Formats: sequence, structure tokens, C-alpha cells
Amino acid sequence: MTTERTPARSLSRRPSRWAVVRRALHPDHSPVLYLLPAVLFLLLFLAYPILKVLVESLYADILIRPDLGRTFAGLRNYGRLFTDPGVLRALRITVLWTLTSVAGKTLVGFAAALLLQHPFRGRRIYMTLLMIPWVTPVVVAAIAWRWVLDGQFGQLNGLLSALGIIHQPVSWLGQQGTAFVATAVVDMWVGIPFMAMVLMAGLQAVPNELYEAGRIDGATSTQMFSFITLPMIRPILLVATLLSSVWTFNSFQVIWPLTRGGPAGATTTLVVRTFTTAFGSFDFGLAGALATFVFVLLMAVSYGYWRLLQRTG
Amino acid sequence: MMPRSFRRALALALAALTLAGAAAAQQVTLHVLLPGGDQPGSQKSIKDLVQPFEKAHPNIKVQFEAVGWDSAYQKITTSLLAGDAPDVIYIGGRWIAPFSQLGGLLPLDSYVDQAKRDSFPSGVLKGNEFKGKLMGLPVAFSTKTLYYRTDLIPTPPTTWDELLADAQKVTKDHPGTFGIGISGAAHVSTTSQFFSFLYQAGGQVFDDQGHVTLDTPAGVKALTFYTDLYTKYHVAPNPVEYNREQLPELFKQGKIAMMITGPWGKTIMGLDPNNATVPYATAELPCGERCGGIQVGDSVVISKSTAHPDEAYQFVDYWTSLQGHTQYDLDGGLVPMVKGEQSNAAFQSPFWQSFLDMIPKGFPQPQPLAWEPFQTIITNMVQNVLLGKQSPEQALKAATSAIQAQKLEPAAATQ
Repeated sequence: MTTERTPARSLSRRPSRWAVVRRALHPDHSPVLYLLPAVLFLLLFLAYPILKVLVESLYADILIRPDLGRTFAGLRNYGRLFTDPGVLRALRITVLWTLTSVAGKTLVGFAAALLLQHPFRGRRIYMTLLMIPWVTPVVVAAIAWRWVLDGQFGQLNGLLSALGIIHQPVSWLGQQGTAFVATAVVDMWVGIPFMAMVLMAGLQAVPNELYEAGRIDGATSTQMFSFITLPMIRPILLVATLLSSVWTFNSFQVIWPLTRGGPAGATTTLVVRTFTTAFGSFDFGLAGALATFVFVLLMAVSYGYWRLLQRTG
Repeated sequence: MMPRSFRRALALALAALTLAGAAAAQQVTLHVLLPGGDQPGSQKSIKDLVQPFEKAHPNIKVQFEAVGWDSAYQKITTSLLAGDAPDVIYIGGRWIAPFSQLGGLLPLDSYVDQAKRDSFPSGVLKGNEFKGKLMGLPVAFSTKTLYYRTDLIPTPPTTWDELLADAQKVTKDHPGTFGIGISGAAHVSTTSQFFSFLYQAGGQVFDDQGHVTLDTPAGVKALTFYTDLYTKYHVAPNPVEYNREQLPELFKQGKIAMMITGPWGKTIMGLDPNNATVPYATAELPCGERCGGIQVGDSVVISKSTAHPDEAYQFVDYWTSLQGHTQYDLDGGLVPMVKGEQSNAAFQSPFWQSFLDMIPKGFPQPQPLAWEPFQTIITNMVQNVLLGKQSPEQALKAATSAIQAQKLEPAAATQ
């Protein structure tokens, strides 16, 4: 009972002190206090794991082999990284796979954005269809694609042989070349909606006056695309491809259900290799070095992109 | 000042709490992890196992948790490392060595008496030992047989040559149907499939001292024969796409006329032998230099971190008893294993007989110090030859040095 009255009384007696506290707590004066939950969250769930991985990469530590012990290894794990032909191959595959997939996503996404930016009958239907891959959980999509691409039962082979394009079923995921392309195409399928949406927003932001001016000056549609559309959406295009590249580089959910990195390592990207090293071999030292390497690599690429973006801006 | 009635109520509440605490101490809940327990058929197996046990042990409550086989190894390993593993865990026999090696399992020597030991086939029980200690009890076990289409292959092949000849004949005479299906996917069953051929060729993965012995003439012979079925003779659909558990589906659809698998092949197809659409029978595996096939077992283990080792063993004991296990095998369609089970009327059929006939010709799964990296090396070896990237000789050499470099040989254990 008495506690309820206390602040009121103290407030009336010493208003100045209460005002000081209130002032100090005001978001304008102490943002730190209000950022604290978010900062703590980031420290705990982002900074701590990253640091832990960094530290782990300096140790020789195979969790399932306690008999071998945990010893400080310095940079030896990184040495293993760059002398292991498997890792170098995974790096090559990752870069090629990322380039293929991001190029596909950007081209198809851009084309879809151009087609969908002007109103026409049935536009809403197309927009909805375009969104389907985005709202499908990636793993579910990948498992569905696994059956579409199956050599004996797959719908793709069924379709192609019905059209007379193939006469023997193709083992899409059972050969190195086709598995590489097939996983990249499925990854494109998943990533196209994002590209299309972002680029459509970018296209809508281009002022109409520019096109009107172009038309008055007698510019052809190709010229208008090259000299108005492209330069105007360049910043958005850069941001979208940067984000897409980082996600694609780290794409695990598409490859794992489809091929598990096979056949014979043809789709083993760096993340797949990191995963199998960490949770198959439980070689946390090497896995830590791999993860750190990917982290630094992507940071460097992102920084380069950011510089490019600054110049564009 | 507290009213008297309130004090009395407080005293009563405290007494009740104490009593409840005492009761709770007696009541034990066991957590049991069952990979594959998410599959529809498993629910009946679990119910038939738990109900009689809980009735006989009213103080123990058994709670099953499921995990897919695909992520089982990762989940169990991390929980053992973290020390918060379930009390009882169902594992693949191949994980006895690695999980013992990481110190996650409770040795069972003090619990298991001689009579109990004698109730298992000795070879299967031996697979549950690690450095002379019994780390688990066998809970499932399988031999493999050759499933073949009786309408396409009148008499089953008994040698490698006959196997190839039959496969070629079916492939040639029945377009759209391959002679045989084999596994080449990155999956544990690819190792099992290949190791049966390796054994038949007279080879083995590790010698008695625990050194890898893949790179031998027998190894070359086995890997050549296995991969030639696809690369040279084209009598199998691309093995890289399929693991063994996917072959029954191909068999059921009439895409393949032979496959090597366990009794669950029948369960997966949902078809009895001699059915009208794809009539089939099972036969002993064809022989190379010698006859036989791999025997793979699953085990039930108790985690070292359990707070209730005695109750956990009571449950393990029931699971592997004649009564508990017979029902478990019947529900799951597994090869009868515990002494006395085989005489059960349900197992008296030519289908089951062929699996029982393979028991004395079995050899155990190799025991590398860590299974998953070993499996990756072996499946990569098979795939590299299937895809024409390496010759059998090159692939065997590469696998041998990878196994040595990653210290996976049993001989590499330092303790």
C-alpha cells in the first residue's frame, strides 16, 4: 500500500532530480540504453560464435577423437586448407557455381521485372506465380526438384521424352556436369523472385520524365534501356547482385538435399565442405579455418562492391 | 500475526510437497532416441515395446524421441559431446567404435550376464565390443539376399558370372528394365553393397591388425566387377543416383529385375513374393571366390551421462529379451536374432529362410575409428570409378591413402 505513494511524494518534493533521471533516460540522450537488448543479442548470437570459430581454427581438435587431444596448432589448419586439393577444388566449384547461379537469377529476374513493370491483363496472376518459389521452404523445393530431376521417375525426363527431345532417360543428378547445372538451376529458381521484386521496385523509381525526354529526342527503345534504365537502376542492381552473391555462395539448403555435394564432389561447394568437415568428421579446427576463410573472402568481396557502390552514388 | 488456519494450511501444503517430492524421486522417466522413429511403421513397434515394459515396471516411464537417420549421427554425436544425451540410444552398429572412442557410452559388462550374452549370435555381439568392453547390445540385425524377378529369371544366379549373364539377358530382352540395381549414392548402403562384393572376391577392408587392405588384387577385382555393371555392361541404372533403400521402388516399378537388400525390401515395396504384378523370390547372394554377405547390425546403448543407469538397463534388457525382441522384429520385419526367435511361426517361410541361410555366411561391418569420413572416402571411391574419373586401381589407392591420412584405421587408436 505504502509503496504506491512513494514516487509521487518524492516527485513532489524533489522534482528536479526526477527530471534529471527522466532526461537521462530519454532516447535522444542515451541511445545506448535502448540499443542494449539488440547489442547484447548481436554479441551473444553473432560476435561470440564468430570469435569462437576464429579461436577454434587455431587448434587441432577433432571432437570425436579425444584420444588425439586438443592442441594449439597456430596457422597449421590454414596451411592444410591451401594445400588440400579438395578445398581448392571446392573453391573453384563455389566460384563457378555462384557466378552461374547469380548470372541466371539476374538475367531472368531482370527480364521478368521489365515484363511485369507495365500493367497488362493477367499481370497479377503472373506476379503471384512468380512469388511461389519465394514462399516455398527451400528444402521442400529442393526435395521436390530431386524427384523432378530423377533419372528413372523424373517428370523432366518424362516431358523431354514425350516431346521427342531425348530417347534415353538422362541421369540429371547422377553425372557431374548435369548435376552441377541442375543444382545451379534449382538455386536460380529459388532466387529469381527476390531479384524480380527488387529490380521491379528499382524500375518503378525511375522518373517517367526521363523516358518522355528521351522519346522527344527520338531515342529508340534500346537506347532508352541502355542510357536511361540501366544507369538509373545500377545502384539497385549492384546491391541486389551483391546480396544474391553472398547468399548463393553460402547456399547449402539447395545442394544438400539434391546431391549432398556429389556425385564424387562435383557440387561440393565450400559451405558443403565446411558442413561435412564440422559435422561429419567433427574436425572443428579445419572446419573453423574453412569458415573463417569463407568469412574473410565474402567480407572482401562485399567491401569491393561497397566501394563500387560509393563511386556510383 | 498469521491466522491459525493459515498456518495449518501452510503446514499441510509443505507436507504435500515433500510427499510429492518423494514420489517423484521414485518415478523415473527414461528418454530413448530412435533414429527412423518418425516413420509411420515405427509407432506400432514403439507401442508394443513400451506398453508391456511400463506395465511390468510401474516406476519407469519410457519416452521415445525420433530423429531421421539422415541427421541421426550429427544429433547423437553433438548430444554425447555436450553431455546431455538421451538415456538410451538406438544406433547403427558402425557407431559403436566412434561413440565409445569419444567416451559417450556406458560399458555394460557389469549388467550383462553370460546367459544374456549367449542369447545373441556371437559375431553380432562381438561387433558391440570396443577395446574388450561391451558397449551396447545388438537390437537389430540383417543379412542381405538377392531379390530377383521369378518371371524374368527362372533360376537365381549362384556365381558372379551367372549374375552378369542374367542381368545382360534381362536388359537385352526387356527394354526399359535393367538387369540389376546397385547403389552408388553418397550413403551408408553403398559401402555395404560394395563390401559384400569385396568379401566375395576374397578381400577385406581392414586386416586383423587394423590396417587398411583395400588396395589388393581382390579389391581391384571387386571394384571392377561392381562398377562394370554400369560402366561397361550397362545392365544397371546410374548407381550414383540411388542408395539401396531406393532400389525397392525401382524394383516395384519393374525398372530393375534384381537387387541386393535386407528383408525391409519387402516392407518398402509392400508386395509379397510371388505377387501378380512383380513376382519375386529371394535367394542367397551369388558367390565369387567365396560366398557370403555383409551383416549389419543396430545396437542399443546407454549414454554415460544418464542419471538412471539401472532403469535404463532394465529397458535395454527387455528390448533385447526373447519376448520384447520377437515382437519388435515382427513389427519391423527384421531378421530374427535372439536365441529362440527363429522358431516363431511367423518366420517359417522361404522368404525368411533365405535370410536365415545367410547368417552363417556373414561377415561383420568394418570398424573404422570414425564412420562418416570413412563412408565419404568409400562412396567417393566408388563414384569416381562409376563416373570414369579414375580406374579401380587409382580409386583404391586414393581411398587407402585417405583412410591412412585421416587416421581412421582401427590400428590408429592410441588408447
